[in-house]
Amino acid sequence: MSRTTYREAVRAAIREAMQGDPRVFLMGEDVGAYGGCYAVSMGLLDEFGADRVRDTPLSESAFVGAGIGAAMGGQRPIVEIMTCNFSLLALDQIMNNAATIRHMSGGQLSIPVVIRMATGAGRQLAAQHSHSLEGWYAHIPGIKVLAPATLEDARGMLPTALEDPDPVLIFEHAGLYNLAGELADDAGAVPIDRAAVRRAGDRVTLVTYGGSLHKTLEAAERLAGEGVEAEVIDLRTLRPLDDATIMASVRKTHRAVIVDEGWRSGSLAAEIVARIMEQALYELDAPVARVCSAEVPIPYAKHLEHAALPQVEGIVAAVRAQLG
Amino acid sequence: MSDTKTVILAIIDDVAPGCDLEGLDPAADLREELDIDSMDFLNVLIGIKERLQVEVAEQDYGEVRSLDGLVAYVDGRRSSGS
Amino acid sequence: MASRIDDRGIEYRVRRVLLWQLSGSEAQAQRFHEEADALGFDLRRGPDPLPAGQREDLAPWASSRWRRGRLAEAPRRRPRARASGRPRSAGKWRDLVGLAARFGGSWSRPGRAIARQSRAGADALAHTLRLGGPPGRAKLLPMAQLTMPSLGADMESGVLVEWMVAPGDEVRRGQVVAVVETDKGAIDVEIFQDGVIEELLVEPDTEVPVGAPLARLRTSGDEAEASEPATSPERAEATPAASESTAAETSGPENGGAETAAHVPSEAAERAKVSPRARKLASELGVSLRGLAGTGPQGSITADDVQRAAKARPSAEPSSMRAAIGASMSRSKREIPHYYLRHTFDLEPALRWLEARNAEVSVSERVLPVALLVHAVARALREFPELCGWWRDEAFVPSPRIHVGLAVSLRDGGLVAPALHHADQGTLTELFAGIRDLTKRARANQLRSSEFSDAAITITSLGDQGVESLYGVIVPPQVAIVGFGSIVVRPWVVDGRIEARRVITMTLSADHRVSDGHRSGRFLRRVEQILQEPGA
Repeated sequence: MSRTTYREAVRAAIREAMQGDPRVFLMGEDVGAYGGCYAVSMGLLDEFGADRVRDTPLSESAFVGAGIGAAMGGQRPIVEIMTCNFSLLALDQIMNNAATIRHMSGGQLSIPVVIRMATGAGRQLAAQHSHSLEGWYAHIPGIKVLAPATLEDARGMLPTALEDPDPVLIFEHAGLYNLAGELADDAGAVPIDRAAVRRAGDRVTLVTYGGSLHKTLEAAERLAGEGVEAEVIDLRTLRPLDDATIMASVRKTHRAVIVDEGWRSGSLAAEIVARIMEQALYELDAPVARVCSAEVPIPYAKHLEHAALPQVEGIVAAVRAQLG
Repeated sequence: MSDTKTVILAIIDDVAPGCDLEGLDPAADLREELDIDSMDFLNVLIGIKERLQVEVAEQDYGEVRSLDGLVAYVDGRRSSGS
Repeated sequence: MASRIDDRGIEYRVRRVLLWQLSGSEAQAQRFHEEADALGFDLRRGPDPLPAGQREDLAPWASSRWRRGRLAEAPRRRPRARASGRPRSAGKWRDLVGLAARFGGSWSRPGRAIARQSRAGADALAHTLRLGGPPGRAKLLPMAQLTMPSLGADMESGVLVEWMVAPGDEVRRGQVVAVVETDKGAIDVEIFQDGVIEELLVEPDTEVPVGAPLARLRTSGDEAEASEPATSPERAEATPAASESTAAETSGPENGGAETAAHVPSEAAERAKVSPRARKLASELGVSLRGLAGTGPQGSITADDVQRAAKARPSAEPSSMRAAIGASMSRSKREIPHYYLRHTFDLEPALRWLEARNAEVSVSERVLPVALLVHAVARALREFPELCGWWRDEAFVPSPRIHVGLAVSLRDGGLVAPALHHADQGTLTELFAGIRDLTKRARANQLRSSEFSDAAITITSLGDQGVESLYGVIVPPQVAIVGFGSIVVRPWVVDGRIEARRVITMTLSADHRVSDGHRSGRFLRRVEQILQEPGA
C-alpha cells in the first residue's frame, strides 16, 4: 500500500497505459507544458514527448473530433476536456460521430476513444465551470459513461476503458483530485460494468456516484450514530446502469434516496427512481426521495455554492423523512 | 407396530397436533381419548384416504371407533383391494 | 326501526338540499327556510352531513344485499294503470322533492356556493353535477340528460318500465316522461327542464343504476339552466347522500371479500397512505389495513406496521384468551339484556338426507351435520335482520351481509368465534369447505383480522359429544347467539306414533333492546322448517 491521491492515481493510470501500448496518447488543452488544468498530466510531457502528450488549440470540437478520427484509424487516444461545461462544444462530435459510427457503419468501424473530463462544483469556479452534465451523456446510446469516485477506480477504470472498443467518457469530479488515501501497489484495471456497495446497511439504500459518494458515506456514518444503517451504492458506471445491484439493495432495505449533484429535473436521479418504480415498486416502504443540486446555475459565492449542492445534512434529513 | 398404525398415528398427529399418542389406549374410543371432534375425525379419514387409499364409509363408523378398529379396517380393505 | 332510519335519511337529504339552496339568493334562502319550517324540518344545523355515528347507521340501509333480503319478503309491485292510485313514496318526501326542485332549479352561481361552503360542501356540489371537476365548468355541457333519479339513499338502481315520450317530443318542465319501478313502488319520473327529447337511451324493462343517463334532451337555449342535468333537483340532493352512505359498499369487494360493509371506514381510512410493500405484505399475511396506525412518512402504513399488526393479532395463548373471553362476556352480561328461547326439533329428515348424500361421495367431499345447521340458520337470518348486526352508539346497526361467527374450541383450551363470510351464499358443499378451512386456521392460529371483527351473529355448537343444550352469551357488539346442543336420540311423535328419532335442541340468546321473543320464536321455527327440506 502507498499513500496517494486521486490525481496521482489518474496520472499513474495514464502513464501505465502509455508505457504499455504505443497507440495510446494524451491530447487536450494545456495537458503538456502546463501539466493539465488540474495537474493530472504533470510530468508526462517530459516522459513521453510532445508526440504523445499533445497540447491542442482551444477548440473542443476540433480536438475531440481529431481523437475520434485517430481512434477510427487504430490509435487509442485519451482526450482530456477541461470541464464538462466546455464539452458541450464537442457534443456534436461525441453524439453524432463517436456514439453513432459503429451503428452507421454496420459494425465495420469502432471508436475506441477515451474522453476524460472534470465535472462538478465545490471549488468556487462559478456557473461556467461547475456543472454536472454526466446525466446528459448517460442519455446517449453508443457510449459508456464512467464516474470514478475512489482511488481504486481512478486508477483502474482508465485501462478497462481503453480496452473497450467503443467510446468511453470518464467524468472525474474536480473536488476529488485532492482525495488522498492508501492504494495497493499492484492496483490495476477494474471492471466498468457494475455498481459497488460501498457500505452495507439494511434500513435505506443511498444511491450515488462521483463527488457525492463521500458526502453520502459521511451521512451514512452519521445515521449509523442514530441507529440507522444505510447501504451506500456507488453507481460507478452511469451508462449502462447496473439495475441489478440497485434493485437487490432496495429489496433488502425497502427505501431509497438518490443523491446526485446534477439538477433534479430530467436527471440521472430521475432515471434511477423510474427504474426502481418499474422493477421494485412492491418492495418499497416509502416514496423514493432525491437529493439533487438546486435548480440554479451553480453560484460563485461560497455560501451559495454550498447551499446549492447536496450536502451531508440534506442527505441525513432525506433519510429521516423516509423513516417517518 | 404395523405400518398402517404408524401412518394413522402420523395422520392423527397432523390433524390434532399435541395429542398424547404415546399413552393412547388402542382399544378405547379414539375420539373420547383424544377429545377430537367430528371435524377432526373427518380430517383423519380424509388423511387415510389420501395416504392409504382406503375410504371409510359413514355406515362403518361403528367399526373404527378405536385405533385398533381403525387399523384393522384399513388393513382389511387394503388386503382385499390388492 | 326501519322507519326511524328512513326519517334520518330524509333529514340528511334535506341538509343536502341546503347546498343547493345556499347557492341562490338571500331571498331564496329565506323562503327556503320558511317552507322547510312549515314542513317541520330543522335546517338550522347547517349543511353538514350527519355526525359520524349516525352516518354509519345509514350505510346498511343503503346496502343492496340487505334490501334484497327485505324485498324477498314482499312480492314486487308492478305498476298499475296510471289512472288508479299508484303507490307513492311518503308524502313528506315528495314535498321535499318539490321544494328542492324550486330552489335547485335556479342554481346558477357555483363559484359563490363554493366560496361559502366548506370544502366538503364543495366536493358534494362537484359530485352533484357529476363533472368530477370544479362545478364552474357546468356551463360547458352542451346538452341536458335525463338521468335515473335517486328516490332515497338506499336506492341504487331502478327499472325503467315505460316511456311516456318519444324522440322528437317537446317536453315541459314538470312533465312526466317515464315510469320507473323501485322498491318503493312505481314512480313517475318528471323532467325539470323544457326541451325536446333527442334520444331515448334505455329500453323499457331495463335496470338502470342511479345517475345513469336515460335520455338526452335538447334544450331551448343556452341559459344557465341548460347546464344542469334535466332531473337535477332529485338527483342533486340525493346523490351525495347516496354516495356517502354507500361508501362501505364501494370500499370492499361486493362478493366474498374479506372487507365488508360492517365497518364503515372513516374518510381518513379510505385515503390511508400505505406503502406498496406494506400492501403486499398485508395481503400475504392476511392483515387488514383498515384502522392500522401508520408510522412511516406522512403517517403512512409501512411494512413494519403490518408486521406489528400481524404479531398483535389475537393469539391463541390460553391465559390472555381467557382474559379476553372474560372481559367480553362480562361486558355482555353487564350491558346486554339477554332473553332466551329454546326449541327442540326432529333432525332425522335432514340427517337421512345428508347420510344418503355422503354415501355417494368420496370421504373428502363428505359434509358434517354442522354445515346443515349453519346453512339453515344463515338462510333464515335473511328474513330476520334484527338478529344479525351490531349494537353501536346506542342503536342497532343491521349487517348488510350474513357473516356468521362460528365458535371453535381450541386444543389448548379457550375458543375463538371467527366470521364465516357470506354464510347464506353458495352451496352446502362450499359452506362446509369454508367451515373446515376456518376451523383449521382457527386451530392453527392463522385467522385473518377481518374474521375477528366481521361476525354479525355467532353460532355455537356442542357437536356430537356434548350435552343436550346450551345457552350462549352474546358476543358484543352482536345482538344474538344461536346454540346447538348435541344430536340425541329421543322418543318422538311422528304421524301419531312414537318413534326413536334423532333430535336437536336449538337455543337463541338475543338482545331485548333490538328484538323480541315473538319474532325470534318464528326464527327458530323457520330454521326447523328449512331443515325439514334439506335438499331444497
